Formats: sequence, structure tokens, C-alpha cells
Amino acid sequence: MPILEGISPIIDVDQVLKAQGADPEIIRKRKPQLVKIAQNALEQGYPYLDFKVLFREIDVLSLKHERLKLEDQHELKGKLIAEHLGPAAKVILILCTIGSRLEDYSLNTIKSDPVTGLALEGVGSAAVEALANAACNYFEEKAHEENLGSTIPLSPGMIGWSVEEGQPQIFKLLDTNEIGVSLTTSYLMLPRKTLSMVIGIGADIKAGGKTCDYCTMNETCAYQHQYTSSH
Amino acid sequence: MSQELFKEMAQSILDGDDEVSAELAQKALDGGIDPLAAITDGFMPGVNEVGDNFACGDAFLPELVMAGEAMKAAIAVLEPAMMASGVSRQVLGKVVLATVEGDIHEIGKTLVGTMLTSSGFKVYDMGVDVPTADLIAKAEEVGADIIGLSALLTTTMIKQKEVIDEVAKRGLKVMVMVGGAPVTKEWVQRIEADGYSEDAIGAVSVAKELMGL
Ligand code: B12
Repeated sequence: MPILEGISPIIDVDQVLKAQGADPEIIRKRKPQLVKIAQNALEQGYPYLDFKVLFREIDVLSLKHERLKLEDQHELKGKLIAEHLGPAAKVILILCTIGSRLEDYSLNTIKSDPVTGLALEGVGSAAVEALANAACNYFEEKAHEENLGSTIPLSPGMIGWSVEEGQPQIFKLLDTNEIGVSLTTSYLMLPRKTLSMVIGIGADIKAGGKTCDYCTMNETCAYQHQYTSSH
Repeated sequence: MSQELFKEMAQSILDGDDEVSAELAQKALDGGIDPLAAITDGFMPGVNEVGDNFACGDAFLPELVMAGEAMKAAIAVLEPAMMASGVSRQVLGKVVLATVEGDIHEIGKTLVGTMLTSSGFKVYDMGVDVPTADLIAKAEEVGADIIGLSALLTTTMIKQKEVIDEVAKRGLKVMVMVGGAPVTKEWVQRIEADGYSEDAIGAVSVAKELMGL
């Protein structure tokens, strides 16, 4: 199964602050020391990031009710899937992870120094987000070069495709061992800093909307301003 | 003089400055100020203010954590003096805290623990992925007033219900409060939890309410 090589997104300190739920502009004025801590965490944490993207492209055959029939008798199903992927000619399943080394490091740190530990957690969340964005951008651009459109990335956990519904579907179609990711019986992905998604590609697809519109927390989430495409 | 000092203490918490808060705590001890008064009238108002700010969106999570650390540093200086004089901080209640079985989400739960501890609760943090039976056993062992349960995903928060059902089945006199990103009011009503909060500061108010404080 293909692994996308060579994506190592650059992460800046603002992304780390945002991933901790903070507004960088306000923090800069109010608590400059937190900016420094985030910067240090980024420098310390970056070497622990193992960016990996696993993907698989599968042709779409048809859409019946909420089932998207794929080649080789595979399928994806769910309300969100039906809403967005009907017009797609193919789907790309994507799994992005930064591995477990940063996670181990941040959880160790959090016990003795929670402020730095939280910043390291922020580095991890920002990193996997940036990775997912970069991967999605890559596939979108590739589609556009072929004059095709792409859907927003759809992730289990969004409205209309619950975690328990979507995750087993995605994991069934990907050989996730290749990048060391597993799904627990409660559908939690390990390592923790991992994101799963699917995008649709096709001539009849018009881009539109943003992921947050389909999030269960779209009215209350403090992290919303940072999410552009994937989460 | 102590009023001035108390103000500076609260400010050190608001600034999240653990060096200054520890220095001020030492200054209080050197000046013969009752360490318990330093906590309740000096540092605590700072913690409360950060909490209020956080609750209405005027403070962010890392600031809250910094404030918690500043409070910890002050208490570390004051506590030995209190122990020596035989005074201890009143324990507001005993909380057994954990992330439910099948879930390994650590930070939210740990932050709740930090905030509860700095507000005067005795917290037994059992870590992550904790089976219901272990939680119940711990709660019985320490005579817990409250069990606090964290979960990251809707798929793992069902375990919160399992714990509540088990408490009811055994007729234990322990209250259960729940939290975590996917937890909603509807869920809380459905599983008949005693309390719930969206964040770590709210967790303190809820715990206090449950204790009738
Ligand atoms: C950062 C983040 C991520 C990061 C890091 C996750 C991690 N844990 O390391 C990344 C990008 C990796 C990620 C991935 C995913 N995520 Co995510 N993520 C978030 C986000 C934006 C913030 C979570 C967070 O860390 N907050 C900071 C901590 C400190 O907050 P907290 O844990 O919630 O704790 C606070 C409160 O909940 C409360 N609290 C916590 N415990 C307790 C206990 C008690 C007793 C009390 C009273 C209070 C309390 O107090 C704490 C402190 O204030 C939330 C959305 C949000 N706004 O919350 C989504 C969210 C949790 N993710 C979600 C989803 C769906 C996913 C994915 C499944 C997406 C996917 N398909 O790939 C994956 C799953 C990852 C996995 N390992 O399986 C959903 C879950 C909803 C659901 N249906 O289950 C959420 C809610 C967003 C959404 N609505 O779509 N995620």
C-alpha cells in the first residue's frame, strides 16, 4: 500500500499555541513567556516527529442509499459519505500519524512540568494537523492538475459519520500496520496523534464548505479557528 | 502589610509565575503570617480569578495550567510550615479520578486533577485506561466522595455509564462526575451522572457543589 514520502510540514509557534486552544495574538501580549515555552517545545519536540502518511485510491462504482460501492466489492457507508461522495469517481483513504515518540516524551514531561508538557502536546496536535493538511493539499492539487475536483476531507467523528461507524470502514481498507497504527476495540487510534480521512475525486465535484461545518462541536469549539481542512 | 502581600500573591497566580509565588510564600512565613491565611486570602483569590477568566473565555488553557503551577509552588513552601504547627488545609473532599477503560487520553483528566488539588481536594489519580472494577475498588478503599471520569471519544465515554451503573448496583455512597470533549448535557442526563463540566475549572465548582460547599 502506498506511503506518501517526503512530507514534513513546517510548523510554527502560532500553530502550537492554537493547538493548545490559545489565541497567539492575545498570548503574545498577555503572556510572552508562554510563546517562549511553545517555541522551546517546538524545538525540543520536532526531532521526535515521525511523519507518515498511508493512502489508498479506490474507484467508485455507484451510490445506493447510504452505501458507496467501491471496486473489488469494497464499500463505504454513512450519511456524510452519501452526501459528499456520490459524484466522486474515486476515493482516497488517508491515514496520517506522527508516531508515538513525541507522545511518550510529552506524557513524561507533563508529570513534572505540565506547562511544557501541554506545549509538547500542542506540538503533536499541530504536527499531525499540518501533516493531514499537507497530504490533503497534495491530493487536491494533483486532482486539479488533471482538471478534477475534490471534496472536503471527511473524517469519522464528523456529523453523519460517527467514529464507531467510520473508523472500522477505513481500517478495513488500509493496511495500517505499515505505518504502525492500530485501532483499539473502542475505536481509538494508537498512536494517539493520528488522523483518518477520506476525500473524493471526480470531474463533477465542486469544492465547498469547511470541515468544521460538519463537526459536532461547531458551536462551542475553542479550537475552531485553526482547523482549515482536516479536523 | 498583609493586605498588600495578599494582593501580590493573587497577582503572582494570575501571572502564572511560580518563582514569584514561592518567594511571596516564603515572605509570608518570614513575616509571621499564618500560612493558611496566605493560601485562603492570598493565593486562592488568584486561582479563582483565573478560573473565572477561563470560564468566560478570557484565559486560555496553558494560562490556567501556569496558574496551577504557581499555586503548587506556593503550597510547597507553605505546607511544611502548616504541618509543623499541626494545622492542615481542610480537605474539601476525596476524589478518585481516571480516564475510563479503553481510553488513553491523559491531559484533560490530569488538568482536572491539578485544579482539584490546588483547590483543596484530595485527588487519587489512577491514570488512563482504568477498568471499572479497579475504580470501584479504589473508591471503596479510600472512602471517596466523588469519582471523576474522563473520556476522549463517544466510543469510550460509554464506560462512564458502566461505572455509574456499578455504583448504583452496589449502593455505594459515592457521587460520579464526568467530563471530556464528547460529553454533553444530554449524555449526562441519560447516564444520570451527579455532575459534569466542560472544563477543569468547572470541575472544581461542580465538585464543591456535590460536597455541598
Ligand atoms: C486536539 C484534538 C485532537 C488531536 C489530539 C488528540 C489527543 N488526545 O492527543 C488529534 C488531531 C490527533 C485528534 C485526532 C482525532 N480526533 Co480529535 N480533537 C481534538 C480537539 C480539537 C481538542 C482535544 C483536546 O486535547 N483538548 C484539550 C484537553 C485538555 O481538553 P479535554 O481533554 O477535553 O479536557 C477538558 C474537558 O473535557 C474537561 N474534562 C476532561 N476530563 C474531565 C473529567 C471530569 C470528571 C470533568 C468534570 C471534566 C473533564 O476538562 C478538561 C480541561 O479543561 C477536540 C475538539 C475539542 N474542541 O475539544 C477534538 C475531538 C476530541 N476529536 C474528535 C475526533 C472525532 C477525532 C478523530 C477520531 C478524527 C479522525 N477520524 O481521525 C481522531 C482520533 C484520534 C485517535 N487517536 O483515535 C472528536 C470526538 C467526538 C466523538 N464523536 O467522539 C472531537 C470532540 C472533535 C469533534 N467534535 O469532531 N484530535
